Amino acid sequence: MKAEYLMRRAFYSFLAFMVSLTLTFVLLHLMPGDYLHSILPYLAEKNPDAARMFREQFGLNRSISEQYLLYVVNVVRGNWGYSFLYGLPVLAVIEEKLRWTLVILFPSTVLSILIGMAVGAYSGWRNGSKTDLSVLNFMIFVGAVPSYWWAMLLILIFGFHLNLFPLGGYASIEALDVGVRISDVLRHAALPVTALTISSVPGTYYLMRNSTLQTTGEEYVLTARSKGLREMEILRHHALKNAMLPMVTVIALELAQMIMGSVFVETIFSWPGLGLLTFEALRVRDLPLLQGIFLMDTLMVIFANIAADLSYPLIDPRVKVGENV
Amino acid sequence: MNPIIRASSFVFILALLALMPLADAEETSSEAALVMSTDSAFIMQGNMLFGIGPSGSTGTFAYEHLLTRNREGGYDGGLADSWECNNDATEWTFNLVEAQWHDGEPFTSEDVEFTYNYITENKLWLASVLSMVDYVDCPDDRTVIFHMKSQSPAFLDDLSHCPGVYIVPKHFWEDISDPTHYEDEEWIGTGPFKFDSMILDQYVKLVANEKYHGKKPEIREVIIKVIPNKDAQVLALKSGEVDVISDVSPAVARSLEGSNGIEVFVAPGTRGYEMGFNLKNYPTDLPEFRKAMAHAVDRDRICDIVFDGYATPTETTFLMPSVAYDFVNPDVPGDDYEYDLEKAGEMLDYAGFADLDGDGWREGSDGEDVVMTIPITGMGGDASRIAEVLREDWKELGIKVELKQVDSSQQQSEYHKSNFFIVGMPYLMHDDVDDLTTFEVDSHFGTPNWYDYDEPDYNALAEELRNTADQNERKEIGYRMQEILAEDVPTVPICSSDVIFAYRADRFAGWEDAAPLTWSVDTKMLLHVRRA
Repeated sequence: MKAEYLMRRAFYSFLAFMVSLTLTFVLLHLMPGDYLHSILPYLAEKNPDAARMFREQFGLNRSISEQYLLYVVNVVRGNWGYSFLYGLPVLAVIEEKLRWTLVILFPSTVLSILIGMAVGAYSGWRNGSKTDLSVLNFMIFVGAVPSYWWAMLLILIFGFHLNLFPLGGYASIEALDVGVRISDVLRHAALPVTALTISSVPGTYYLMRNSTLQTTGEEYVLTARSKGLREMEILRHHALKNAMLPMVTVIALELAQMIMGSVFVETIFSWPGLGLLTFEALRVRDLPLLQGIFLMDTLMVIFANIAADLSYPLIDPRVKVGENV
Repeated sequence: MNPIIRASSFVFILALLALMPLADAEETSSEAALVMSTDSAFIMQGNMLFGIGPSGSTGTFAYEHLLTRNREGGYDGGLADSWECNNDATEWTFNLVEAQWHDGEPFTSEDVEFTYNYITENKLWLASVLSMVDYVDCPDDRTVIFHMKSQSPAFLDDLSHCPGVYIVPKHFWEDISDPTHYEDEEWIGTGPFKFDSMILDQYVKLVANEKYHGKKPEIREVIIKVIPNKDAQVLALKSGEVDVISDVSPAVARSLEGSNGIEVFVAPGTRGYEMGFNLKNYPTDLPEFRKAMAHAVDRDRICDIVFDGYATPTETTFLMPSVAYDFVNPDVPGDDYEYDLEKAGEMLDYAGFADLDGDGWREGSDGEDVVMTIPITGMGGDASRIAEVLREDWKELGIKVELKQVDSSQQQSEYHKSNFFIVGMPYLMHDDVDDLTTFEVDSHFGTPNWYDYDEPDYNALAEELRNTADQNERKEIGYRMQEILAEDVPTVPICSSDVIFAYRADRFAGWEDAAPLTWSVDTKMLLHVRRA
């Protein structure tokens, strides 16, 4: 049953991937403008010969349907094309940038989940209390401030005025002589991680607070209270576990979405991640690269969903993956 | 406090504290190296022949042209120290310098011939720049001759800038079969700086080429640091992480003036701003209307408000006197179109654009209010701010201006659908009589010019200019073209703006000795920089 479920799941995931691939291709080709006009507008306008040669080189002179078929075949074969901007294979460019995005994204996601869930559970449990209201209002404020503002604030205070952290980048200038050191990267990552954490905590907080709120009225909580358990014990052992379930899906999807969402933080901290790459690729209309980035995001959402589904039974043994499908 | 909150806060604070001690040594550029910022990381990837290398990229410091354009209206020698053409400009001869590639191999005329053949045989887009060349031959190691398909008096411009043709080493490139996907990791050129090392997306380190054939650099190391955000660049300059930043906005320049150790200087007249009309769309298709509107451009106010004084009003037809010198026709007086709203109003009345219904807006021949559309990409750019000033001025005149937001890649096609556009082009597009062919119908390779301007006499002169090699004759033809432009007014020049640089005067000097050609630090500028 489980194997059948996984097969079916894999088939639907592949279908979703192909639909996304088609939509991405169509939408990006409907987008006005092209690479050459964006990167060197005066040249493209004054010298269509250059534009013609460029189109021939990248196969852009073929019909759209021909380009689409070629693209589908190539993607399935693992060839995602070449970036106009870098002249390198799209997958190689994405892989390089994804690594740097994950360096700041992974710790900030873990931190924001931990903080958001802890504060959210506490706030939801103490629903209506002064603490809950103050935390809620504070989180609304934190969430309302854009991430780039937090980034600028952190850079100004901790980077520029207090000189405790570097202003940006992932390595000091000395890396040119001694190579990139892990401690150096961590020091450079501290502020971007903090900025990303601050800006993503409120989302997790709201969800956890609501999720906890729903469990407070459940009968098992009432039973626990009538047994004379202390409030914190009820929260930890009964309410929290049940409130976790909806969080898993949301957290998994959030992780996939945050990859694109870190563009402002990456720009301000000169952090060469996927967000910055997306922005740059969009600006110059690097279609193969954009297609690759969107496909990578699709893959992440698909895998995050599967991972969330498979992790349900670990959190709640009553859930049996693959049954009643 | 919840123990989970307590634990996670503790871990977070501990992590921050653990990292702080590492930051005690202030991150400053190494003592010897000059550090300059760039806003795009892709400068350090690709290669010199395929990539559309922006000025200031890794390759532009390592490679050289045969010659480069200078600000005095002539050319500086690069890999060629002299050049000449035959009478009808169908044969260009270059005498080459004695130079070495960065790997120690000698540079010869074969490298030049190879570069041409390699570009054309591989059909690289640069081949379009060399499309007038029939073939290249090398009578000896130090001489190279370009045989042209037809008269090519402006060939030096094609070779020298925007983007020009960088010469690559034959012994290195002849083994590279796929230049489109080749990533250069050595950048072996002949230029004054050699590629040393790189941290991807962060730094490029260049070192002085001790065996450079020309003026040797006074600084030993140059580091290019990638900082995409302009505000972050300013902070990096203030904190001493970088020594120079370029293309600073006037507002930031004012705030930096007087900062400790920081100086600001300008490269004058680097961008030429014009208000171009579209001659196909109503009402700008009417010459009387355009002439009236030419009197409604308050250049002084634009220079003050938009450029905070870092610009100079321009009143000639298209060429900028500060860079085009005697190519500018002295008998085409710019003050024909001085700012005079009253006169503009009278001319509009005379042309049939009057406010008949008394609502404050002039109506056209169709009885509708006159609305002028202008395509704008993003708010806050120079063009949009100039348009805002004009909109305010023209409100007084009774002319409505509609700003149409368009994507940057669509901007130029929108020129053909709107009434007017504001464009700031490099001064190099305003410095030679050849630039006047911009107004020729289907000016290049059959596409219409931005203005949809089509004047048979003008087109004939442009054709004549293309086939004329004698400089005096070219100048005369240019004069006649400027007279026609002054009469037809397809464009109204606004101003030439300065490019502002800010640098750490406590570390390096000499920045102002050689103004760059565009808006970033270039090789010539770096050659004049020395320790403070």
